[in-house]
Amino acid sequence: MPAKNNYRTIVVFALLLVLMAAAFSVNICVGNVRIDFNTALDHKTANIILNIRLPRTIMALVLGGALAVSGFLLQTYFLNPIAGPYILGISSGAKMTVALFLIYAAGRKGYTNNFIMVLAAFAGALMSTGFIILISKRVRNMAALLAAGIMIGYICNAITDFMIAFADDSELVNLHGWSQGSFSGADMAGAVCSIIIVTGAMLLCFFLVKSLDALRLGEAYARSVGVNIRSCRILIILLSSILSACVTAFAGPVSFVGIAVPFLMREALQSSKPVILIPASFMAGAVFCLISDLMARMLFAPVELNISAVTSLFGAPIVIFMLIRRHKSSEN
Amino acid sequence: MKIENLSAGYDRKIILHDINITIKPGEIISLIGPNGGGKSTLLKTIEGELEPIGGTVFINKKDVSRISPKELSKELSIVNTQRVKPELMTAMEVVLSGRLPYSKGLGRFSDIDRRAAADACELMQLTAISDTFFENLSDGQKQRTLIARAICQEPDFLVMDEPTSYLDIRYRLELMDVIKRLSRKGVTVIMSLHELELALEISDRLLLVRNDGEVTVKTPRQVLDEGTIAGLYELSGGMYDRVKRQFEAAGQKEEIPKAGPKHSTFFLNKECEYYPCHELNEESFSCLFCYCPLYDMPDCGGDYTMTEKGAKNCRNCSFVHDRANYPKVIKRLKGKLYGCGTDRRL
Repeated sequence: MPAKNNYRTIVVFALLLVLMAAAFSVNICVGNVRIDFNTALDHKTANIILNIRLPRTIMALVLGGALAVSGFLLQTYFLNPIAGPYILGISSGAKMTVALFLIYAAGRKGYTNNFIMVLAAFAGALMSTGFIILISKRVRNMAALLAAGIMIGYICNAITDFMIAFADDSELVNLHGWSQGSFSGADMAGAVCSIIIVTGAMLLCFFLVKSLDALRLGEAYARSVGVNIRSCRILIILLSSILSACVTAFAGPVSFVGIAVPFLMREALQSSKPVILIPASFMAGAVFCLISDLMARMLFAPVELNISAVTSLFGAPIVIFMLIRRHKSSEN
Repeated sequence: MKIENLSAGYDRKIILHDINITIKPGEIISLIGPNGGGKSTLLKTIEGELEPIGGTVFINKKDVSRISPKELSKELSIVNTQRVKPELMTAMEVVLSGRLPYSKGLGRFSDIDRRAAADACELMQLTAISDTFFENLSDGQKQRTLIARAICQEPDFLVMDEPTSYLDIRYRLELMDVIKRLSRKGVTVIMSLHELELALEISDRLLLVRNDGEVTVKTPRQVLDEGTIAGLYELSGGMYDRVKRQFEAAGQKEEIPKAGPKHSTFFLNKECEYYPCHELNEESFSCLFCYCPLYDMPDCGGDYTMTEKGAKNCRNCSFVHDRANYPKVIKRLKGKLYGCGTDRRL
């Protein structure tokens, strides 16, 4: 590794740390009630911080990171830089099962539990991913694979819409807002739950780093340096599904973070080494989501935007830019 | 390595059957045969990527389809024909990935790993481009990078599918020298080759893979004498005569240097048993002497005497030290290979 690149890595990570700290504190301080470090911590402000802003900020941070890492894992799996949980319909699959759960279990019996929500989302995510893998075995074409993912997303969304159309209003209480993607419903229990799940998944990710590194040269070469392809593939899929399922369960489908952030990090670091890209993607995803959430809250306050609207607004142009660039380099 | 009653193919469809061969350590085995005959299938089965349909491949007495990829990765490395497109990965990183079986947790490399990769880069003449991104390399450079990757994995068995593809004639010849050197160190090399003359020159034995799924083992001499090539490639009489003339011309030239002891023809190698074997000064020595592709040609054009060890002692090197003159040398090399255009003046 050339010294220039080491220097670059240090700068990028330092920058990410600073940005993350800044975004975190701004998210805590800014809102309808402005709080700064001089504000006296009376009961009311403490309540706002501890019960509303802190959980929300933690969620945006943890889940944003999770989404970016999930995207990175999928990109490695499909050897395709445009793969991501949202575009491949994995988020929609998770959304479908969570909606199913919310309408029929939570709505009717009035029972919710964070872990069961994640489990429901996980099942949906795995289902979509399973479909994608089946299709990817038949078509090797990158564009066709994405089209298939988008179609699966549409199917899942259609089924979700059906369910919503036929459900009673009382059953939809929990669903509103959530299905568009928003961190507004965050509470402390959910934040703790997501921290536990995401930390676990991230630790497992680091066990996979060596295999992911080898997979950059494709399966045959990865095998030849000792990677057990079958178990490695299953682990990647499980991990990326659980990460994106966790996001969908708590915040609904959030678009483009999974594609845009890993791409930005690859460009910033000028490397595709998983051991540095996974933490970098996590941190950048966290920053991206924190800023997006802040904008969703503040741009048209007191009206709150969907976080997906904000992430799309910033993420989609990045993806378009990426496509143009790749196209250019493949022509040369 | 031992291959017993092996049948290989895809999806239960047998393409090759009844393959039996015992390969000694350090042997060079080439697979030759027509396109689509199943050379790659056989190589993939040997390296454990495909499950054999029948029979077994043993590596160091262990069944290849049974041992874990991890264990296998320290004994066998591969170069295949699949084109890889890693993003933002430098040539050095690609080479280093061959050291992953030896790396510590999180894929961290030790100094030994880095040195092995650097050595492999030097061997394949990649040092100048080691920091270039793989996607920006030429096809030949990519191929050499992948070969360096396989070499720095330090395998007992090197399995390569058409390693000479994309390489120009100079790198092709140099690759053959590298392979010879590896084999002398005890590395068994199994590869498919399209260039028959190279296969006949370098291999200890040849595996002839026929279109009908029959695989036979022959020495290069047998192949030349028995006229097996015509049947193997289904050549017509006229086509075969042309091929044969080329082989005979190449073969005759080959005989002469083979009589004397072998020596390092390509490397600046102070550990070479013949060093110092000539009276040239160090500069021209490091520049070309040991690289000289004309080294084993009796009529290389320069004056020399033979040392008692049987090495050439060059006086006035005829090999042009100037890049502009390379085409002339290449022409001469072609002459050496194909037995035509034997212009004695360089």
